[in-house]
Amino acid sequence: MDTGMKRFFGSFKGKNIYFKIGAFFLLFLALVVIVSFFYTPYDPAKMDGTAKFTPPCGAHPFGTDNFGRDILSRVMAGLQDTFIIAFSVVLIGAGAGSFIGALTGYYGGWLDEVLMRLNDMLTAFPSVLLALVFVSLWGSGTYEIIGALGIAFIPSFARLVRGEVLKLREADFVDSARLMGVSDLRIIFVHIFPNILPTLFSAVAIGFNNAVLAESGMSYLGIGVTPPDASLGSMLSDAQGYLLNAPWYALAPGITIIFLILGFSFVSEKHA
Amino acid sequence: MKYILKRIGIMLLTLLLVSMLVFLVFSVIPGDGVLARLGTDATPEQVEALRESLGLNKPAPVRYMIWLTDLFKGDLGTSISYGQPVASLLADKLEVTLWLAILAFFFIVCVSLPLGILVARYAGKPLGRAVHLLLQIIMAIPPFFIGILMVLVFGLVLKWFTPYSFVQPSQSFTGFLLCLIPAALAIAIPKIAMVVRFLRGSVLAEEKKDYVRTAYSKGADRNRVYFMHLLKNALIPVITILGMMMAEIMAGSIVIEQVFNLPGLGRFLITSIGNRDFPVVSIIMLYMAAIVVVLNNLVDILYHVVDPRITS
Repeated sequence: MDTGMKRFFGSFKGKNIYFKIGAFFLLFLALVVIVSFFYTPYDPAKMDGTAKFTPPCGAHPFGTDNFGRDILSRVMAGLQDTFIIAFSVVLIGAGAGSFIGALTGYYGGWLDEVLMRLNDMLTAFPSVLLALVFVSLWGSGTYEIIGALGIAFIPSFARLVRGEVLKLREADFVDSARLMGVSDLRIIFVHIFPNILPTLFSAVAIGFNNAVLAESGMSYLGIGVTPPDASLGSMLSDAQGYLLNAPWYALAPGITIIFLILGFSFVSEKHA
Repeated sequence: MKYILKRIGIMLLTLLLVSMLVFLVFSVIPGDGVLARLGTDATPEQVEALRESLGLNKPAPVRYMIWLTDLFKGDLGTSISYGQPVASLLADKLEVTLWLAILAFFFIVCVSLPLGILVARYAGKPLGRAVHLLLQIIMAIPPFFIGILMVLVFGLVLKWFTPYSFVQPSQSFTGFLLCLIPAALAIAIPKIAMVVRFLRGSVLAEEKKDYVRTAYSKGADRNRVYFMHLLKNALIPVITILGMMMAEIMAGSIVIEQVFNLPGLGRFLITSIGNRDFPVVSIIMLYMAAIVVVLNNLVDILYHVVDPRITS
């Protein structure tokens, strides 16, 4: 177990420049999110009829929108929503997926067969489509999106962890643990699982990447975060109507999404 | 041959399971919607009569069998919000989405294969590194934001195309294809970046192999090694990626149709979800999932035909 943990944390050291840049983007954006809980330059929902479509300037660095709301404040609030949703989605997907994958990978048998066939069937639906299935049953909204995308993300994590557990199931250190009378659950989660962490870490970063993309896409379609709350995707959808007179309205949330996704993709890249 | 038959069997089984899932989710779980159609002040007799006439008082497995046989007969059900047969509503929307997907796929294949080989040749050199980084940045742009940027830059500022315009294919098929091009490009661009990076990796991996060294040592020049030996091996894994991409193109078109205001299946799906028009939603979902299942299995079969050693 020790070596697994050490390898997991060791994998952060001596990373290439891409990893560092990605980590920097993410830390910076995470900092913005933390700040946004306590402070935004303006109230993100406060309208100001006299300041409609102000181009970027000293008072409004990212300009204002069609209701005179400060876009920087709205991007900060939107980033916060996007972060929380992506985090919850990956937590559900990776948590439930790892649990299911580890158990079926370790025990095998008919349950494994059934779950993996089910998995094959679910992967036939692209994750946005699968999330839409749930949204059409539950309706739209922040919690609905989290649930829908979270469930849609379970199969890929289950498959990944199952494969890794399958590889390690017959390893010598697992056999020794078994001979010493260690319980199955302990073998799975204390002995095998830490060895999977480096692979899982990559998958989690890719999962964040996909979650941000899926959430912004669905909010863009108007079935994610609903007004007056802002997510980066719903801001883009509002901004599209004013592309020519207020291009900054679309660019601010769009570029923020790009930096967020770029951060996750640089961090998940093993070698560049 | 045995492998191909097995694959087709698995494909049919998966399709059957997908259809069961779709039926379960949209016809059994949400209830029958009879009350919603009649309003809250309907008498129990009216409710019962409508249930009877729609065949909703039969048990779910029987209704599934009826639904499935109707599907094979071409009866896709009736839309709740339009009161028309789903099949007639979907026909022209299907055409838009299908051509959008075909165009996007065409762009992906035509651009990424030559570009991937070129990038692999320059790997390790400054130019190769720069392109590699550029591709990673392109992959980080959500397709719908690429669409918005294209509308802004090429549509509104440069006026190369008229944003949000649509020509019916019956009026002018060329005009129809032309107004799909910006949307197809918005879907294709991030995927092109992905395939190029993948192909580059695949070519570089093949280049280290013994047979390539042998070919070089026999005096073959680089072009000969690439086109006679290396590429046919390097392209095999790319087939899988391209096959899997069709699924994402279908999913991607849902959002992109919204960006470019195209009357395709994806937009109709979103509208129907908003209207809770489950007969329409279920058919579109079934259709999209079926395309993905069939394509994935076709790719597996193609894979086997190209390289008979692969049976997993």
